[in-house]
Amino acid sequence: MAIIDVHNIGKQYTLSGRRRVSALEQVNLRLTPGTILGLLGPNGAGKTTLIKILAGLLRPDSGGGTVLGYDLLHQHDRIRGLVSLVAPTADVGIDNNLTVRQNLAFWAPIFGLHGRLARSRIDGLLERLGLADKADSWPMHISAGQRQRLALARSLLAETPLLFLDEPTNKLDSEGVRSVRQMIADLNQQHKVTIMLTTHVMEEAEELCGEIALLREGRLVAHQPTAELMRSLRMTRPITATLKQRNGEVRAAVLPTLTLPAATTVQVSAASTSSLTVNVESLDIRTTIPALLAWVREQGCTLTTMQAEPVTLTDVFQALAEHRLQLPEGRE
Amino acid sequence: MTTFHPQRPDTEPMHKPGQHRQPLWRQFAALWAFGLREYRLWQSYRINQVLWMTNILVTTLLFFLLGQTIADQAASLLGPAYGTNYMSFVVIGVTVNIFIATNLSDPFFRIQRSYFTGTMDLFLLSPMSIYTPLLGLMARSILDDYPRLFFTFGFGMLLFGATFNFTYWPLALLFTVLFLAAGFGLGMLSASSFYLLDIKKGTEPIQFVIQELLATLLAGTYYPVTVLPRSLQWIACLIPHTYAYDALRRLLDPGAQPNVPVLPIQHVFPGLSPVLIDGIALTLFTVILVPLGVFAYGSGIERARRNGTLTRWQ
Repeated sequence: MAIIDVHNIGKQYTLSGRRRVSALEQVNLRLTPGTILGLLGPNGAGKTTLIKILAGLLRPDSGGGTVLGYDLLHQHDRIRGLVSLVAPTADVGIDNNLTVRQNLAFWAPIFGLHGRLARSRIDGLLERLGLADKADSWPMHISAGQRQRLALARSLLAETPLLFLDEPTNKLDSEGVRSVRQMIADLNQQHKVTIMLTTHVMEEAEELCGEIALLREGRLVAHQPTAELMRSLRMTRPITATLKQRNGEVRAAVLPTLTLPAATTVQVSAASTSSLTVNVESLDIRTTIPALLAWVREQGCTLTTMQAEPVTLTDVFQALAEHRLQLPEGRE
Repeated sequence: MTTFHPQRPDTEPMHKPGQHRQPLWRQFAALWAFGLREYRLWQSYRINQVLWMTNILVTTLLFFLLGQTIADQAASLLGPAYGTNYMSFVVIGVTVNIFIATNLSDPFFRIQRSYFTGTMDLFLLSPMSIYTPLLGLMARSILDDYPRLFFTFGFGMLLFGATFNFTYWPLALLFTVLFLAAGFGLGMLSASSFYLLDIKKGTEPIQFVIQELLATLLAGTYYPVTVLPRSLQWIACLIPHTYAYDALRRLLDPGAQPNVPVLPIQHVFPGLSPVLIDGIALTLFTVILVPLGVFAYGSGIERARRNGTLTRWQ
């Protein structure tokens, strides 16, 4: 059973002057248990609105479906009791007048934890998140990264099967980023927690997310496994190679004959009497480069230099923001 | 290293349709956590405790001085219904007013505050009932305000000559509970305006009109309602404060005569004891206002969920 299965979700907000703006339109999303989904999109794309709807904090104007098996429209209170959220502002929910441990002890009964179970879970989380030595410190005396980890610990107390992380490594130093990412990966891999993550750090989404959903202007424009998405978006990357002809003479006749897999354009030009420059626009450099190297060997050439970079989510995100994205066939 | 077990039975993850939310005892356990947090905060600031006690002492002294000033006129001012001790009269009025102000004004203030700090989002994303955080967040004011009653009575009696008749204390307690319940009903109505009327900042109109305006001027906190014009006395009968003050003074003020009518509505039913009329009125207020408050607050949450104003997080 899908942990999230929603259809045609739409939401409009009324602004001042009764002007209505569309925040989400016709969003369909299905997520299987144990997935980490990266929800990406420019500011204002509708990411937070979608999370609020899925968490039961916002009623959609249209559409419906289930989250954790509960009806999104009629059982939202049940959904709210079974999901956790880490908001981008770490200070939310942290009381500066209570120690780190007291903060967690306050939240434990709110999540239905009591007695020995609550204490052991608090101790465990403090240890896992590197806060054990700060357990009796005041939150204002710990770093921003540690406060973020405290916020994460609070959300993890409940051990809910579905976790929403809204920019979870925001404000963290590199060590904090590393430990939180590790924690997210552990939660997902070892404990099968389904996670929906929003981030502007594309490296983070690539590292953590098995699936990516792209939102643009309230529409879900793509939702696929991460690697597949980047291939299917048909974003080309340049490959530039310079070759040296071993025999000292360029065989001009071969130039127009070069075809490479996943390449949209191939241009071979003679840089000098003994060298060639190959410029390729590739949809998938992992396919194109081996074929290019095989061709180089076949031609009896020596590879002098080669530059190539894979498509990253940064490129996807940038293209999405600039409306340059060519969407996979069959999608909106 | 701890183990992590999402959907473990001991956390009662309610992921199967048909299962219920947290049982009532867990809602109380969550309320206890709110209370414990506030107590920890309260007891960690020693200077605050001293100032708190000083404030009560000064307030009681003020009543004493007022009582001394009008001691001679007190008997004629208060009339036979409330005895002759102005000190006792005003102590009841002011301390009970602090009580009810907590129940009436605090829900809106706490909801407003937790909304703007973003904490309400987290409370709503928990297995708690939507009403549990509303009650829990009031713990701070309850801890601060409720004990004032006992200290003010104590100081008044020990230091400043206030006297009370404790013969009917169980009945007085019942009236107090009814009054607090009615006040909480009004408080929930007031809190619901945060979501229903989208009053996010500034003064909340329900608590302002009832507590700041009608109760302060008309309910008889500092003077009996008989000093007011007859039309205003009738308006005073529209709020629960008037009945609570009347009943508590009749029951606790020494020399008070329980059967002498004071409020206009008590004159309408001469066959009924004024205290009984007060009791009926307070019961009616409670029976009407509490369900209305619960309904309004729930409706407010749902309305905010629909129009996107439930949470601060964006």
